[in-house]
Amino acid sequence: MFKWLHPYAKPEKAYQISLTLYKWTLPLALIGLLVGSIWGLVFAPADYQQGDSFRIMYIHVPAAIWSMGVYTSMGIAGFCALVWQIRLMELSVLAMAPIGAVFTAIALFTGSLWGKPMWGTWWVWDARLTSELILLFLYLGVFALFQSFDDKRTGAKAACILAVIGVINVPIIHYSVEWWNTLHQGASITKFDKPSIAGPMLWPLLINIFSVLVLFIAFTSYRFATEVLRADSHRKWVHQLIKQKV
Amino acid sequence: MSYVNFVKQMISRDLQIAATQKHEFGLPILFFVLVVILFPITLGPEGTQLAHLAPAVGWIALILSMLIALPRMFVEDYENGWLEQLFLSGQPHILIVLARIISFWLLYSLPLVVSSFLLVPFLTLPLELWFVLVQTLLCGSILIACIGSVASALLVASRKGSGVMALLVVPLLIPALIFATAAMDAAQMSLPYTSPLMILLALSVFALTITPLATAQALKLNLG
Repeated sequence: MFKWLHPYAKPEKAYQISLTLYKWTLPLALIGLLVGSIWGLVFAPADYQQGDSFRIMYIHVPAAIWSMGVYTSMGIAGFCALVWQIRLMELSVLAMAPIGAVFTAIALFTGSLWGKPMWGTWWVWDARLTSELILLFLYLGVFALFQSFDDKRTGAKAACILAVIGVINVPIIHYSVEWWNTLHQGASITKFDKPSIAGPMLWPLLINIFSVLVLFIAFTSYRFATEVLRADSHRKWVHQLIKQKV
Repeated sequence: MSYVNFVKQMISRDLQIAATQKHEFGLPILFFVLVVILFPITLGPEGTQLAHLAPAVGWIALILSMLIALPRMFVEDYENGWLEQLFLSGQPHILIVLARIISFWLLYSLPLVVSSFLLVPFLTLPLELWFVLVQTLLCGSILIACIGSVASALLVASRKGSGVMALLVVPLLIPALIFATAAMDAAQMSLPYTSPLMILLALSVFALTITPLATAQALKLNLG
């Protein structure tokens, strides 16, 4: 398998692939978001209990799901970077961190907008909210740690170590705050039996969840390509690339 | 040299060096006392409210004072080259780190835990609650030393450390805080408090097992 994977670890190849990936995934993500959001915000039936204000779910749930998904993938990439000493993996961790932080911030913000009419308060010290807030700080920590090094390579490796530690700790944080205090509703899609949400409401949500994933892939590959260029700025292939463009 | 002897020698070296620079170790304790004093002054001197807040004050003061002390964990030995020699000596890196965590805990955390006795007269904390608080602080300070060792090792070469230090350590401490407050709440209502305390202890043991790996890795990274 590694023989087959090996050519993709070359920076110029990785740069080309990620740019192609970006070109294909960005339109797909935008179309998906447009369809899912319009369907969800305009055409989906109103909730019998929450009225129209439940519609923020179509932004909140995808952002919240992928705020955790991004952290996991960041941890896996960091682990691979540390174990197999793959430089491009380090760059991918740096590419993912700010995107995940923005997803987390969106989830927190829309969540508090949703909480105001439903729970009557912007913020409660509830399990999910707390662990999401801590997740935001973990993201910021990874990025701040990278910034506090003069040498980019060392900073990237340090960020990888922190990302891996965070992945070990995230489940601990999640369950500890769950036992501590909880008000947030339980999972309604990721249960193993039939989802407890009606079909016409569910479809746009699934579309949006999928589109946010694709959007994450698009942004990550673009940021990754930029990071590769910056890391390799002294190399020949980058100079050739610049000459072609100018 | 057996591993146990190696760890013992490392710790005794750290303690001997500490004995020559005693003034360094007073500072975190002083900071602890100052944080504790701030609470009655800002909240007003009513007894019942202070007694209710005392365990939280103890924990906050412990975390803040540890954050003051943590950057010093590796810096000196990193700058004078001792750490590099140790890492080249062929001894297991995990043991080097583990010995340092233990000596750091003895030198900085244990005095802080003991000085939490101040809460009894200052914040009118009942003595039997103080015994529970000390148990949570003992377990928690091991955890802080472990997690802090990773952060300290990561930031050993960086100059803008202290703000980032808090950002790295505090989010990872939340579970410990939650179980510590659970234990204290149970004790305040005179309910059994052993199970949250046991989980806290389990977290510290887990951290003591896992974090030396990450700390050694981080130090190796900075030693280049």
